[in-house]
Amino acid sequence: MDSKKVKTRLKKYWEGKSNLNEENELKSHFLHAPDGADPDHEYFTYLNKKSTQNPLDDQFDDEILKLIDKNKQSRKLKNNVIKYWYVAASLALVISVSIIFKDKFIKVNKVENVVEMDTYKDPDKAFEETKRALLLLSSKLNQSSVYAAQFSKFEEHQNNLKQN
Amino acid sequence: MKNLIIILITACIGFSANAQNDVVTKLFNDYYDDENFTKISVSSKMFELFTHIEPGDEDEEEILEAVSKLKGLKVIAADSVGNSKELYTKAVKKISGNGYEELMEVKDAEEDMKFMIREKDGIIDELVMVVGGNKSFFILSLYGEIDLKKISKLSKGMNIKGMEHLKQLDDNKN
Repeated sequence: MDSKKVKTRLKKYWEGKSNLNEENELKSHFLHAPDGADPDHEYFTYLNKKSTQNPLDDQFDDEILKLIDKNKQSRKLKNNVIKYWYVAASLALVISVSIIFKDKFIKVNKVENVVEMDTYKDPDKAFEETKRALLLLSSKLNQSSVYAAQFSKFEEHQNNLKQN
Repeated sequence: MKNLIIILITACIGFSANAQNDVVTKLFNDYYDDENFTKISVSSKMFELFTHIEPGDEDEEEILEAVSKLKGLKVIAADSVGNSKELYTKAVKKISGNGYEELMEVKDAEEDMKFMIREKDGIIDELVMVVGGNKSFFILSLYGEIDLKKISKLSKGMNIKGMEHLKQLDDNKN
Protein backbone atom coordinates (compact mmCIF):
# COMPACT_ATOMS: atom_id res chain seq x y z
CA MET A 1 0.00 0.00 0.00
CA ASP A 2 1.43 3.40 -0.93
CA SER A 3 1.79 6.16 1.60
CA LYS A 4 -1.13 8.19 0.17
CA LYS A 5 -3.51 5.27 0.49
CA VAL A 6 -2.24 4.59 3.99
CA LYS A 7 -2.89 8.22 4.94
CA THR A 8 -6.45 8.10 3.53
CA ARG A 9 -7.18 4.81 5.36
CA LEU A 10 -5.70 6.17 8.59
CA LYS A 11 -7.83 9.31 8.32
CA LYS A 12 -10.94 7.19 7.78
CA TYR A 13 -9.86 4.92 10.66
CA TRP A 14 -9.46 7.69 13.19
CA GLU A 15 -12.72 9.26 12.04
CA GLY A 16 -14.33 5.92 12.74
CA LYS A 17 -15.50 5.54 9.14
CA SER A 18 -13.32 2.59 8.04
CA ASN A 19 -14.74 -0.90 7.59
CA LEU A 20 -13.33 -4.14 8.92
CA ASN A 21 -11.55 -4.92 5.66
CA GLU A 22 -9.78 -1.55 5.59
CA GLU A 23 -8.77 -1.94 9.21
CA ASN A 24 -7.27 -5.35 8.46
CA GLU A 25 -5.38 -3.87 5.53
CA LEU A 26 -3.98 -1.21 7.84
CA LYS A 27 -2.95 -3.80 10.41
CA SER A 28 -1.31 -5.89 7.69
CA HIS A 29 0.50 -2.82 6.35
CA PHE A 30 1.98 -1.92 9.72
CA LEU A 31 2.99 -5.54 10.28
CA HIS A 32 5.43 -5.28 7.40
CA ALA A 33 6.23 -1.54 7.57
CA PRO A 34 9.59 -0.54 9.07
CA ASP A 35 9.59 0.69 12.67
CA GLY A 36 9.26 4.51 13.08
CA ALA A 37 7.92 5.09 9.57
CA ASP A 38 4.63 6.34 10.89
CA PRO A 39 3.48 7.74 14.26
CA ASP A 40 0.69 5.19 14.28
CA HIS A 41 3.09 2.32 13.72
CA GLU A 42 3.43 1.53 17.42
CA TYR A 43 -0.29 1.48 17.92
CA PHE A 44 -0.96 -0.93 15.05
CA THR A 45 2.00 -3.10 16.06
CA TYR A 46 0.37 -3.35 19.49
CA LEU A 47 -2.94 -4.32 17.89
CA ASN A 48 -1.23 -6.97 15.76
CA LYS A 49 0.60 -8.35 18.77
CA LYS A 50 -2.60 -8.44 20.83
CA SER A 51 -4.60 -10.26 18.17
CA THR A 52 -2.04 -13.07 18.00
CA GLN A 53 -2.15 -13.57 21.80
CA ASN A 54 -4.73 -15.92 23.34
CA PRO A 55 -5.90 -14.14 26.47
CA LEU A 56 -8.11 -17.07 27.61
CA ASP A 57 -5.75 -20.00 28.06
CA ASP A 58 -6.55 -23.52 29.28
CA GLN A 59 -6.11 -22.53 32.88
CA PHE A 60 -8.84 -19.92 32.49
CA ASP A 61 -11.19 -22.55 31.02
CA ASP A 62 -10.46 -24.90 33.91
CA GLU A 63 -11.18 -22.20 36.43
CA ILE A 64 -14.46 -21.28 34.75
CA LEU A 65 -15.54 -24.93 34.56
CA LYS A 66 -14.66 -25.40 38.22
CA LEU A 67 -16.74 -22.36 39.12
CA ILE A 68 -19.69 -23.68 37.09
CA ASP A 69 -19.45 -27.06 38.86
CA LYS A 70 -19.27 -25.38 42.22
CA ASN A 71 -22.31 -23.28 41.38
CA LYS A 72 -24.24 -26.37 40.27
CA GLN A 73 -23.39 -28.18 43.49
CA SER A 74 -24.41 -25.24 45.64
CA ARG A 75 -27.73 -25.00 43.75
CA LYS A 76 -28.29 -28.72 44.26
CA LEU A 77 -27.58 -28.31 47.94
CA LYS A 78 -29.91 -25.33 48.11
CA ASN A 79 -32.68 -27.33 46.40
CA ASN A 80 -32.13 -30.20 48.82
CA VAL A 81 -32.34 -27.84 51.76
CA ILE A 82 -35.62 -26.41 50.39
CA LYS A 83 -36.97 -29.96 49.94
CA TYR A 84 -36.08 -30.81 53.53
CA TRP A 85 -37.83 -27.64 54.67
CA TYR A 86 -40.95 -28.66 52.75
CA VAL A 87 -40.90 -32.11 54.35
CA ALA A 88 -40.30 -30.60 57.80
CA ALA A 89 -43.14 -28.09 57.31
CA SER A 90 -45.49 -30.85 56.12
CA LEU A 91 -44.59 -33.02 59.09
CA ALA A 92 -45.18 -30.08 61.42
CA LEU A 93 -48.58 -29.56 59.79
CA VAL A 94 -49.49 -33.24 60.14
CA ILE A 95 -48.44 -33.23 63.79
CA SER A 96 -50.40 -30.02 64.47
CA VAL A 97 -53.52 -31.41 62.77
CA SER A 98 -53.10 -34.65 64.73
CA ILE A 99 -52.83 -32.75 68.00
CA ILE A 100 -55.83 -30.56 67.20
CA PHE A 101 -58.01 -33.47 66.16
CA LYS A 102 -56.53 -36.01 68.58
CA ASP A 103 -59.41 -35.93 71.03
CA LYS A 104 -62.00 -35.94 68.32
CA PHE A 105 -60.28 -38.77 66.46
CA ILE A 106 -59.88 -40.97 69.50
CA LYS A 107 -63.46 -40.30 70.51
CA VAL A 108 -64.79 -41.11 67.02
CA ASN A 109 -62.82 -44.38 66.96
CA LYS A 110 -64.14 -45.27 70.37
CA VAL A 111 -67.67 -44.43 69.25
CA GLU A 112 -67.33 -46.50 66.10
CA ASN A 113 -66.26 -49.45 68.17
CA VAL A 114 -69.18 -48.97 70.51
CA VAL A 115 -71.60 -48.68 67.63
CA GLU A 116 -70.18 -51.61 65.74
CA MET A 117 -70.21 -53.68 68.89
CA ASP A 118 -73.51 -55.49 69.33
CA THR A 119 -75.01 -55.43 72.79
CA TYR A 120 -76.45 -58.87 72.21
CA LYS A 121 -74.66 -61.78 70.61
CA ASP A 122 -77.81 -63.83 70.26
CA PRO A 123 -79.91 -62.70 67.25
CA ASP A 124 -83.15 -63.76 69.02
CA LYS A 125 -82.40 -61.57 72.02
CA ALA A 126 -81.29 -58.72 69.77
CA PHE A 127 -84.52 -59.11 67.81
CA GLU A 128 -86.59 -59.01 71.01
CA GLU A 129 -84.91 -55.74 72.02
CA THR A 130 -85.29 -54.31 68.52
CA LYS A 131 -88.95 -55.27 68.62
CA ARG A 132 -89.45 -53.51 71.96
CA ALA A 133 -87.60 -50.43 70.76
CA LEU A 134 -89.60 -50.31 67.54
CA LEU A 135 -92.89 -50.73 69.34
CA LEU A 136 -91.95 -47.98 71.74
CA LEU A 137 -90.96 -45.74 68.85
CA SER A 138 -94.15 -46.60 67.04
CA SER A 139 -96.33 -45.85 70.07
CA LYS A 140 -94.55 -42.55 70.63
CA LEU A 141 -94.97 -41.62 66.99
CA ASN A 142 -98.67 -42.40 67.17
CA GLN A 143 -99.04 -40.59 70.48
CA SER A 144 -97.40 -37.51 68.96
CA SER A 145 -99.50 -37.79 65.82
CA VAL A 146 -102.66 -37.78 67.94
CA TYR A 147 -101.45 -34.59 69.62
CA ALA A 148 -100.62 -33.12 66.23
CA ALA A 149 -104.06 -34.08 64.88
CA GLN A 150 -105.76 -32.60 67.93
CA PHE A 151 -103.77 -29.44 67.56
CA SER A 152 -104.63 -29.06 63.89
CA LYS A 153 -108.32 -29.64 64.75
CA PHE A 154 -108.05 -26.96 67.44
CA GLU A 155 -106.40 -24.64 64.94
CA GLU A 156 -109.08 -25.39 62.39
CA HIS A 157 -111.84 -24.55 64.92
CA GLN A 158 -110.02 -21.42 65.93
CA ASN A 159 -109.83 -20.31 62.29
CA ASN A 160 -113.54 -21.05 61.85
CA LEU A 161 -114.37 -18.97 64.92
CA LYS A 162 -112.26 -16.11 63.61
CA GLN A 163 -114.00 -16.25 60.23
CA ASN A 164 -117.46 -16.20 61.88
CA MET B 1 -45.51 -32.89 48.16
CA LYS B 2 -48.74 -32.53 46.16
CA ASN B 3 -49.84 -35.97 47.37
CA LEU B 4 -49.20 -34.97 50.93
CA ILE B 5 -51.32 -31.84 50.54
CA ILE B 6 -54.11 -33.88 48.92
CA ILE B 7 -53.96 -36.38 51.80
CA LEU B 8 -54.15 -33.56 54.33
CA ILE B 9 -57.11 -31.92 52.59
CA THR B 10 -58.90 -35.28 52.33
CA ALA B 11 -58.22 -35.94 56.01
CA CYS B 12 -59.66 -32.55 56.96
CA ILE B 13 -62.79 -33.16 54.84
CA GLY B 14 -63.08 -36.59 56.40
CA PHE B 15 -62.89 -35.13 59.85
CA SER B 16 -65.62 -32.59 59.13
CA ALA B 17 -67.85 -35.24 57.51
CA ASN B 18 -67.42 -37.45 60.55
CA ALA B 19 -68.27 -34.52 62.77
CA GLN B 20 -71.60 -34.19 61.02
CA ASN B 21 -72.60 -37.85 60.77
CA ASP B 22 -71.58 -38.95 64.19
CA VAL B 23 -73.44 -36.46 66.30
CA VAL B 24 -75.86 -39.07 67.65
CA THR B 25 -73.05 -41.57 68.00
CA LYS B 26 -71.14 -38.98 70.00
CA LEU B 27 -74.07 -38.63 72.36
CA PHE B 28 -74.00 -42.37 72.83
CA ASN B 29 -70.34 -42.13 73.57
CA ASP B 30 -70.96 -39.41 76.15
CA TYR B 31 -73.04 -41.82 78.21
CA TYR B 32 -71.03 -44.91 77.37
CA ASP B 33 -69.19 -45.09 80.68
CA ASP B 34 -72.13 -43.95 82.81
CA GLU B 35 -73.76 -46.89 84.52
CA ASN B 36 -76.99 -44.98 85.11
CA PHE B 37 -77.71 -45.29 81.41
CA THR B 38 -78.68 -48.42 79.54
CA LYS B 39 -77.02 -48.64 76.17
CA ILE B 40 -78.27 -50.89 73.42
CA SER B 41 -76.67 -51.20 70.06
CA VAL B 42 -77.80 -53.46 67.26
CA SER B 43 -75.52 -53.41 64.26
CA SER B 44 -76.27 -53.89 60.57
CA LYS B 45 -74.76 -57.39 60.73
CA MET B 46 -77.28 -58.35 63.41
CA PHE B 47 -80.09 -56.85 61.35
CA GLU B 48 -78.99 -59.09 58.49
CA LEU B 49 -79.32 -62.09 60.81
CA PHE B 50 -82.94 -61.14 61.56
CA THR B 51 -83.85 -62.28 58.06
CA HIS B 52 -83.32 -65.87 59.25
CA ILE B 53 -85.81 -65.55 62.12
CA GLU B 54 -89.07 -67.37 61.60
CA PRO B 55 -92.03 -65.15 62.57
CA GLY B 56 -94.12 -66.56 65.43
CA ASP B 57 -97.29 -64.65 64.59
CA GLU B 58 -98.65 -61.94 62.31
CA ASP B 59 -97.39 -59.12 64.50
CA GLU B 60 -93.89 -60.51 64.43
CA GLU B 61 -94.12 -60.91 60.67
CA GLU B 62 -95.05 -57.26 60.42
CA ILE B 63 -92.10 -56.30 62.60
CA LEU B 64 -89.71 -58.43 60.58
CA GLU B 65 -90.95 -56.73 57.44
CA ALA B 66 -90.44 -53.32 59.04
CA VAL B 67 -86.86 -54.15 60.05
CA SER B 68 -85.94 -55.70 56.69
CA LYS B 69 -84.60 -52.42 55.35
CA LEU B 70 -83.11 -51.14 58.57
CA LYS B 71 -79.40 -51.12 59.19
CA GLY B 72 -78.98 -50.35 62.84
CA LEU B 73 -80.46 -49.28 66.11
CA LYS B 74 -79.04 -47.45 69.06
CA VAL B 75 -80.80 -46.83 72.32
CA ILE B 76 -79.71 -45.00 75.39
CA ALA B 77 -82.08 -44.90 78.30
CA ALA B 78 -82.24 -43.89 81.93
CA ASP B 79 -85.27 -43.94 84.19
CA SER B 80 -83.99 -42.26 87.31
CA VAL B 81 -81.91 -39.23 86.46
CA GLY B 82 -82.41 -35.96 88.24
CA ASN B 83 -81.52 -33.70 85.33
CA SER B 84 -83.55 -35.43 82.63
CA LYS B 85 -84.98 -32.20 81.19
CA GLU B 86 -81.52 -30.71 81.00
CA LEU B 87 -80.23 -33.85 79.26
CA TYR B 88 -83.15 -33.63 76.85
CA THR B 89 -82.45 -29.98 75.97
CA LYS B 90 -78.75 -30.68 75.57
CA ALA B 91 -79.32 -33.70 73.33
CA VAL B 92 -81.88 -31.92 71.15
CA LYS B 93 -79.59 -28.93 70.77
CA LYS B 94 -76.67 -31.14 69.78
CA ILE B 95 -78.63 -33.17 67.23
CA SER B 96 -80.77 -30.48 65.60
CA GLY B 97 -77.85 -28.37 64.45
CA ASN B 98 -76.27 -31.17 62.45
CA GLY B 99 -78.30 -31.82 59.34
CA TYR B 100 -81.30 -33.32 61.13
CA GLU B 101 -84.75 -32.02 60.34
CA GLU B 102 -87.44 -31.76 62.99
CA LEU B 103 -90.33 -34.08 62.34
CA MET B 104 -92.46 -33.56 65.41
CA GLU B 105 -92.24 -32.17 68.91
CA VAL B 106 -94.66 -32.76 71.73
CA LYS B 107 -94.44 -31.20 75.16
CA ASP B 108 -96.84 -32.07 77.92
CA ALA B 109 -96.84 -32.20 81.70
CA GLU B 110 -95.26 -35.65 81.76
CA GLU B 111 -92.60 -35.47 79.12
CA ASP B 112 -91.04 -33.69 76.17
CA MET B 113 -90.60 -35.60 72.96
CA LYS B 114 -88.86 -34.71 69.76
CA PHE B 115 -88.54 -36.67 66.54
CA MET B 116 -85.82 -35.73 64.10
CA ILE B 117 -85.05 -37.22 60.72
CA ARG B 118 -82.25 -37.12 58.22
CA GLU B 119 -83.17 -37.54 54.59
CA LYS B 120 -81.11 -38.52 51.57
CA ASP B 121 -82.58 -38.53 48.07
CA GLY B 122 -86.11 -38.36 49.48
CA ILE B 123 -85.58 -41.39 51.72
CA ILE B 124 -85.41 -41.11 55.49
CA ASP B 125 -82.10 -42.72 56.42
CA GLU B 126 -82.13 -41.88 60.11
CA LEU B 127 -84.82 -41.26 62.67
CA VAL B 128 -83.95 -40.01 66.12
CA MET B 129 -86.36 -39.84 68.99
CA VAL B 130 -85.42 -37.96 72.13
CA VAL B 131 -87.65 -38.16 75.19
CA GLY B 132 -87.19 -36.29 78.45
CA GLY B 133 -89.60 -37.19 81.26
CA ASN B 134 -89.61 -36.08 84.88
CA LYS B 135 -86.84 -38.46 85.75
CA SER B 136 -86.43 -40.39 82.56
CA PHE B 137 -84.34 -39.73 79.52
CA PHE B 138 -84.36 -41.68 76.29
CA ILE B 139 -82.67 -41.47 72.91
CA LEU B 140 -83.44 -43.87 70.14
CA SER B 141 -81.70 -43.73 66.79
CA LEU B 142 -82.83 -45.91 63.94
CA TYR B 143 -80.97 -45.98 60.67
CA GLY B 144 -81.35 -47.58 57.28
CA GLU B 145 -84.28 -47.10 54.92
CA ILE B 146 -87.07 -45.93 57.21
CA ASP B 147 -90.73 -46.17 56.38
CA LEU B 148 -92.57 -44.06 58.95
CA LYS B 149 -95.96 -45.45 57.97
CA LYS B 150 -94.83 -49.02 58.58
CA ILE B 151 -93.29 -48.13 61.91
CA SER B 152 -96.29 -46.20 63.19
CA LYS B 153 -98.56 -49.06 62.10
CA LEU B 154 -96.68 -51.53 64.32
CA SER B 155 -98.14 -50.39 67.63
CA LYS B 156 -101.66 -49.73 66.42
CA GLY B 157 -104.01 -52.10 68.14
CA MET B 158 -101.44 -52.91 70.79
CA ASN B 159 -101.76 -51.56 74.27
CA ILE B 160 -98.42 -49.89 74.63
CA LYS B 161 -98.06 -46.76 76.57
CA GLY B 162 -94.43 -46.23 75.90
CA MET B 163 -92.15 -45.22 78.67
CA GLU B 164 -92.72 -48.32 80.74
CA HIS B 165 -90.57 -50.01 78.12
CA LEU B 166 -87.64 -48.12 79.49
CA LYS B 167 -87.94 -50.24 82.58
CA GLN B 168 -88.14 -53.38 80.46
CA LEU B 169 -85.08 -52.34 78.49
CA ASP B 170 -83.25 -51.71 81.72
CA ASP B 171 -84.30 -55.01 83.26
CA ASN B 172 -83.27 -56.94 80.19
CA LYS B 173 -79.88 -55.28 80.07
CA ASN B 174 -79.17 -55.93 83.72
